[in-house]
Amino acid sequence: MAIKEFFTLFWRTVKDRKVAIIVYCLAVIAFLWMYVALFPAFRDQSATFNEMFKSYPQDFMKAFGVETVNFGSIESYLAMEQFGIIWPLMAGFLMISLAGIMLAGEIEKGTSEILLSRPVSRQQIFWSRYLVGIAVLIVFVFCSVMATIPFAKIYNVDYSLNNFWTMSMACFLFGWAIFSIAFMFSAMFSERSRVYMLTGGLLVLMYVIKIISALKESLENLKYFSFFYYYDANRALVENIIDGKVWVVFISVAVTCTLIGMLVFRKRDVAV
Amino acid sequence: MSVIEVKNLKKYFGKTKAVDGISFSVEKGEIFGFLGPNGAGKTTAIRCMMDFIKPTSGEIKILDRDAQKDSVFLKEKIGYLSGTVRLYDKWTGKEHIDFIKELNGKNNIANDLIKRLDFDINSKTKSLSSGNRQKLGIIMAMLCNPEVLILDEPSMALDPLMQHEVYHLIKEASDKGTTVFMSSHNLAEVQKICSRIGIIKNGKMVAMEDISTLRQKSMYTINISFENEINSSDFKLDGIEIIKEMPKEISLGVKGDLNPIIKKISNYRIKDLDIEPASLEEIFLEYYGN
Repeated sequence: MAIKEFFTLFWRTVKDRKVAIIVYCLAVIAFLWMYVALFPAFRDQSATFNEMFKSYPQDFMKAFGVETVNFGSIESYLAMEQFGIIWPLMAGFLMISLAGIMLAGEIEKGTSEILLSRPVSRQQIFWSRYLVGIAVLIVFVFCSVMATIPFAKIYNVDYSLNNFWTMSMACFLFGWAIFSIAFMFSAMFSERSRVYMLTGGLLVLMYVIKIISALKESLENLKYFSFFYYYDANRALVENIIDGKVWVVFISVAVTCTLIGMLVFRKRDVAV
Repeated sequence: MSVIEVKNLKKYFGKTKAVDGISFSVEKGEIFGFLGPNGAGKTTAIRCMMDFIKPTSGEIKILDRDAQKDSVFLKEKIGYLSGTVRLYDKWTGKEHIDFIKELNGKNNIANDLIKRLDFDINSKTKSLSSGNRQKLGIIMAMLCNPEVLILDEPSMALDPLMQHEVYHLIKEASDKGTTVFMSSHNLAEVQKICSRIGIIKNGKMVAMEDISTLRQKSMYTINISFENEINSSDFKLDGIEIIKEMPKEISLGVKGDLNPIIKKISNYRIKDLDIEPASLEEIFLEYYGN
């Protein structure tokens, strides 16, 4: 694979997406700033909140990923507030839209002909775009997790650095799997909307599966088919653990979908 | 030596036979016109040649290399113009040109092309007219001095002056040894610059002609208004059909050489004369209808 052409494609894609990526990262940092700034007030009232949550039905709390409520530490507070719903939503949206634009979007607009009429292979196009997605994910994860540290210092909040590194890895694995699924669809289809619809639909389905499996005991085993079971912010950020099955599932999905996507993209007709 | 060799190329989309077993070859330095009405299969055949889409069956060789297996190698040698030039909206013309230069690693005639086509490279392509988009497409196809030019409707959206300039550029490239394969549905255009043509209809190659043979198949409609009354039997010649006649006006359908009828017309004093070349579709119906 010619390195020069590969980097030309890589940097050009980064350049084209940089404004959107910067805005997105700033938005997630702003969210984090808000949460950390509010944390001292939550911590002071944590006993009241804990009492309030105890009155909620356990299954209901479990269904929405809140198994233990503890606003006494920044880790457990962020696991619930930032990484429970907001982060997966933002990451999913970013990864799916990026994947959709980078292959299917180019085919839809017809600009793929500019690339394919040049001396670059389809693999180079595929991998250069894929690595841009991974690079964006790393930057996004870093901004959305590790930015806690300076804010924690500003607001005199105690934190455990190791737990945030573990959370970064959990977030990366989750984002990588979603991006790989969306990228596979992007390599298969010629319209962005189909990529958004299929990947978005799949994520919604997984979320519903997680809720149903928590609410109904007979359907408990369905949880293994949901990414939201494996993406466990409490376990990563509070307990500083990523279970083996989480690594296996997310890496297997990411690698399999990426390879399928590449094989399809090499063979398919690329024309509007 | 054949630079482009296509053998029994087929491309089916489900039950639709977009290209159905076409074969042709193009020699070095030749300008080959690929003619056909809209939907005949021209663009599909070109996309197969460029490896954008995979043929159902058949063989395509360019510069003696397989167009699918050696696609990356060949694209260093091929300049390609799409039938509908699609550009990155947020880039300027300069960014497009620089991008191509970085990927192709050569830059010989970009500045000359920009000047000759009078193209403003600093505007965002989103704001470009269709003519200017076409100019940029032509610059991108030709800037690296390719050995083979594959042009899908090169004069589309250009004004007559620019069309003329593009014909010049194509002829100059051909004189330097570049092999040109261009599609068109404009008969007058291919007559001007091509040395040989292939005619495709419903996915099949219906004829391969030298341009001199094609010229004999030219058809025109001539509308003439005279100052005085005429004798319509004066215009009954071989290859001439009287479409409509009035005492001082006549409409004629002419096949082939115009000279005999012009001589006849010149015997009268003319008020108005309009010679309209037949469309490619009309010629198809006349000569290749079956």
